[in-house]
Amino acid sequence: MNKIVLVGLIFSVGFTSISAQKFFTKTGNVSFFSRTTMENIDAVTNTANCVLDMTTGNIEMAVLIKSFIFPKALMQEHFNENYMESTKFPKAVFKGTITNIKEFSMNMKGKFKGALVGSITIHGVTQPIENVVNLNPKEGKIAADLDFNVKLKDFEIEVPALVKDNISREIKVEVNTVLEELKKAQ
Amino acid sequence: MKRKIIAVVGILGILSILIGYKMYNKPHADIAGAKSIATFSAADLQKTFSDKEEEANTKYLDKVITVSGKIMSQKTEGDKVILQLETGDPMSTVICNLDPFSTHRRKEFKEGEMVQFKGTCSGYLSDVILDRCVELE
Repeated sequence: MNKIVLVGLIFSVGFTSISAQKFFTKTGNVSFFSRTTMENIDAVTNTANCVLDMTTGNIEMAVLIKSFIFPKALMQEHFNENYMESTKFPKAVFKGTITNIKEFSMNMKGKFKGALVGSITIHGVTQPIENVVNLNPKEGKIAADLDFNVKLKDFEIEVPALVKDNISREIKVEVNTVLEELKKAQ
Repeated sequence: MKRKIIAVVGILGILSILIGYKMYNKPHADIAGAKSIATFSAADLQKTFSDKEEEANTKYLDKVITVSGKIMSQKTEGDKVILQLETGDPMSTVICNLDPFSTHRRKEFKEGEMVQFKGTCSGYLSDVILDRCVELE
């Protein structure tokens, strides 16, 4: 009898340590803004994917370009067809590492500034990126947020001369996610 | 004669401004009235994408499709409602975003309940994602 309890205990300990390694979300919020004197443009998606490995600090995030919703249908059409060519390049992907993840703990109060190094692929073009991601542990979950600017030129996104005053050369991207523990046996 | 030309040019000018303004403000396509090109169970839709993503992308990306399945979870953030449909694989499901531009009969769903949604297919991450979903009776 004791053996069974022991085996059960080992198993449960094993499971918690495995499951504690990864945090994820399928419903991350990504929005972007273009501000010009002519026009402000913003769009948002709520279905960004993100997985963070707590032991290595590896983090991956992906978002579907077609899932961005714009207030104006015409903007959404132009964004997909003319600028992002989202049928050809349906995803934007970030892959990288939080290099100081070892200093992070689930018990810390307030925001932890994670040093993020990696690469981002948009419109089929990959560029290196370095940034700070804020990690905020709360009730077993981690709120992760960051923002960064994307230069259209860096990702070979061309804007026709006719509307070039309406679209900013640099787009501000905001990421807000709440990562939950990945439990193997759901 | 000159007056007539000015009048015609003026009317054309006003018309083109009106048309331009209307195009700029054209509404999002009406999903409820749109024709669905294919109908899937959530499990079949997930399998279609996980087996051959590229082929599925060419067929269904940006197209209006219908999916039916059991509600696995609901997440509500403000007026945004995100529903996950069971596929048999809890890590790879079908995610439906309710359409922010449509009026919905209801925005509360129960876990385990069978539903049918029509929406535009945005593609596949670890899950198949449908945006602008409306519930079918």
